[in-house]
Amino acid sequence: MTIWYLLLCIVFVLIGALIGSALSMLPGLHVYNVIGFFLLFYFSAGLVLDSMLMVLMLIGMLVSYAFVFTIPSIYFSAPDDSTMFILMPSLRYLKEGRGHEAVLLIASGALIGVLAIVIFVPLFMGPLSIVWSIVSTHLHWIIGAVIAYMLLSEFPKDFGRHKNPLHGLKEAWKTILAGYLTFFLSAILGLIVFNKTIVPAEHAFQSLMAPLIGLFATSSIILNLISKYEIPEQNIPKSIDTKPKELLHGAVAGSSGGLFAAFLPAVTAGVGGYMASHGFAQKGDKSFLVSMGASRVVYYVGAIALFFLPVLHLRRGALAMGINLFFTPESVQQFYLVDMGIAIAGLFAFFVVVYASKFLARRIYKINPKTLNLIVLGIVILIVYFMTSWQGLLIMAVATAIGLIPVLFNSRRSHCLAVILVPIWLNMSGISLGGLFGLW
Amino acid sequence: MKGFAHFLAGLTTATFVVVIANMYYGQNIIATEIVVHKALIIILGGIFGILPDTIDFRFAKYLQRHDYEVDMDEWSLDPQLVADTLAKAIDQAAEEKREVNVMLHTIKISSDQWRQYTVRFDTKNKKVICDIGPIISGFEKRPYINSYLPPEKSHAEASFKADLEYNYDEVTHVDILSGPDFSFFPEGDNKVRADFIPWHRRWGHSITLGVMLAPIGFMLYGFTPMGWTAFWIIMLGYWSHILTDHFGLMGSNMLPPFTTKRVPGFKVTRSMSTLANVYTNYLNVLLVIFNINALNYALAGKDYLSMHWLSYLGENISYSEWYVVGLMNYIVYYILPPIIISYLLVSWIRRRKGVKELTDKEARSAEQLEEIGGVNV
Repeated sequence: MTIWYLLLCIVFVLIGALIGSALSMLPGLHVYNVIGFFLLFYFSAGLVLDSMLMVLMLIGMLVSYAFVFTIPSIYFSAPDDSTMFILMPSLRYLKEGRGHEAVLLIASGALIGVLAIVIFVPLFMGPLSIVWSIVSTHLHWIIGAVIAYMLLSEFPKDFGRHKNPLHGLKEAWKTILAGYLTFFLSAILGLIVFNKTIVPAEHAFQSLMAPLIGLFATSSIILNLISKYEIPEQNIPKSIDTKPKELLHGAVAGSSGGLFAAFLPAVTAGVGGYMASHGFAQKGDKSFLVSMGASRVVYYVGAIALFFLPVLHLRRGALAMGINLFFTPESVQQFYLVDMGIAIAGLFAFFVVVYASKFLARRIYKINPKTLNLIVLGIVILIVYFMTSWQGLLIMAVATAIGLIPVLFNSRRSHCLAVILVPIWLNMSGISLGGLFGLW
Repeated sequence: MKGFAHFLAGLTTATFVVVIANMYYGQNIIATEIVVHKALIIILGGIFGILPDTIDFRFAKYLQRHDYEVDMDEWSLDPQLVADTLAKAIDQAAEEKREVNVMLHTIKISSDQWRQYTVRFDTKNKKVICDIGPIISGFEKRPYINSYLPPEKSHAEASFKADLEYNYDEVTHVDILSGPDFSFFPEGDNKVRADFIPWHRRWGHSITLGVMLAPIGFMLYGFTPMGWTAFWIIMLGYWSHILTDHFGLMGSNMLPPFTTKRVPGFKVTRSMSTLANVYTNYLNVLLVIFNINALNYALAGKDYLSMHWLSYLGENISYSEWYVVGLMNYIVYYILPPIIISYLLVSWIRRRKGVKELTDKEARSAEQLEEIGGVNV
């Protein structure tokens, strides 16, 4: 490898990071949707670009997305499946004029997450491959256990005021049953989407976009539209004022959760992150926000590192699968090149997040929240329409209705993740339920 | 322990049961069901591992009846009402020789703001002291500085006559979500014992209930080897929760209806301790991996962990020998060193920084308070 080729690699990583950063600012747009189009373009252009350079550009896009999507999640309240958990504390921060602080905490977690991938994934190459060999035939019950934990770990959020025990039970179970209803409906939606291509065939690779946006983004935007709140003037602190212990605790928990999610199919960063936050007995919003930043980055970027990791080559996530269409990782040198790309893109995206957040924090309070949310809703609808046609809008509308159930009944929004978890789990367990819905 | 630790402990117990059941029934009946036929039996361990808290927080909490409920709002803050009610309940329990329950409700101001108040039992001077505190913000519990009340409006005391036995931290904070409740039990002449959150860790955290739930295994798989395996997974998974909780301070009521009081815990750790939770989870995850490897080895003859000590025993060793020696080796090489090294490191840092350890009473209260409203689960 010449020095010129190495420099070219860095340039392509930065180009990818720049494109990824710009696109990630758009609420509702997932990097995987954009990467899908890039791959189509790449294949139709006859693979003119060196495949490693294309890989590095795509990795730059993914890394910057993992960082920069924090901005629309916090300032525009349009989360995806992995940022929905940060919505509650971050919205609280935003309402207290501390939106930028929340962004900095998440970005710090994300930066530590990148460091963890760059340093620890190569170090644990051997153990990771052994663990994978052991657990790969047991994924059906491991993912089943994740689902069981999600369902059993939600507890009533009542305030203890009841006329009698029956009334108390009714009030308590209202939340829990709303959660179970969300889980059930999301699972059915997932089974339909996974088994039948409702969106036009040319958009089939985007079929998960509409349900995910409906479940997490539009439902949050609608909640913001119907609730009364003001965005106050935002404070721009010089430091995040966090104890190293909080930072470390959050980063370790988040990185572990992200790695767990990157390692297992169907489990996403949000689920991994919140399981890790329970596993590491996390306390406090700051540590939680740091952990969610780390978890998200380790989930998205770690999946790519695991794909390139010699002796493992685990295909997780849409990017690894997309890259695998034109590239087969073979050498340790390629792995370290990818590792370098991740580090450079991560550092670049960190500064993008910090400066973009500062820019928005200075201006966001001047915009009426209702107007802002209407604009965001408009953008999201347009994106879904252009990417998946009117059929996608229909799926999004159904998903939004499901996504509103936990929001209105104060149950956990993570139940919406049944849309991915259940179909994949059933598939791995050899259980076929598609016939129930006339899907085949 | 946190709910996650209980869930994992249940799963770990289940993996031990399936490995032992696989050895007991032979011909890899259990391993084949799990690996080849994709049976989900191991999940039962996790489900029944977390079930005791599910029962307490989803059912038992709501079945608790209260003789008195103190429910103030921001416009009728009355510390005297709180102190008088508690003092009255203590004396009533002693005089009427019956259990008297009191519920202290939280004071919610907005979706993210609560008025905090504290209750203190001064057992020496036989007084209940209530202090109304500041308005606090959500889960971070940051006080709003200008929200404190003047001392004459925020403080009240009430005397009681009975001798009170109170084994928790003197000060109880009532702030977010659901408030705490107290049970006062008559115990001999003019003596009253106070229990904090009386519905928790009673019948739902008992060995008795674990035994009663175990036959569900037969309902799921019939009287087959899988049914018996499920029976043991459910029972031992349930007991794993009680055992894990018992390493803390509060303990559980082990054998209702034969026993009525909580048996105090081993006092080895605190349930809310980050370190204790992390170590428990680390231990469980590693043991699950070992047991899955053991199942794979039984079924396909592939030992991915290949423990070093096994090489001393030669090639003609039985499966049970392989399992026991391999497990010992695994614990000594992979489980203990990280725990011991990190524990020593953390202890050294704490000593250097002069971090004060909680007293038993403080820790017991913190353990209880954390669990109100399912915060701990």
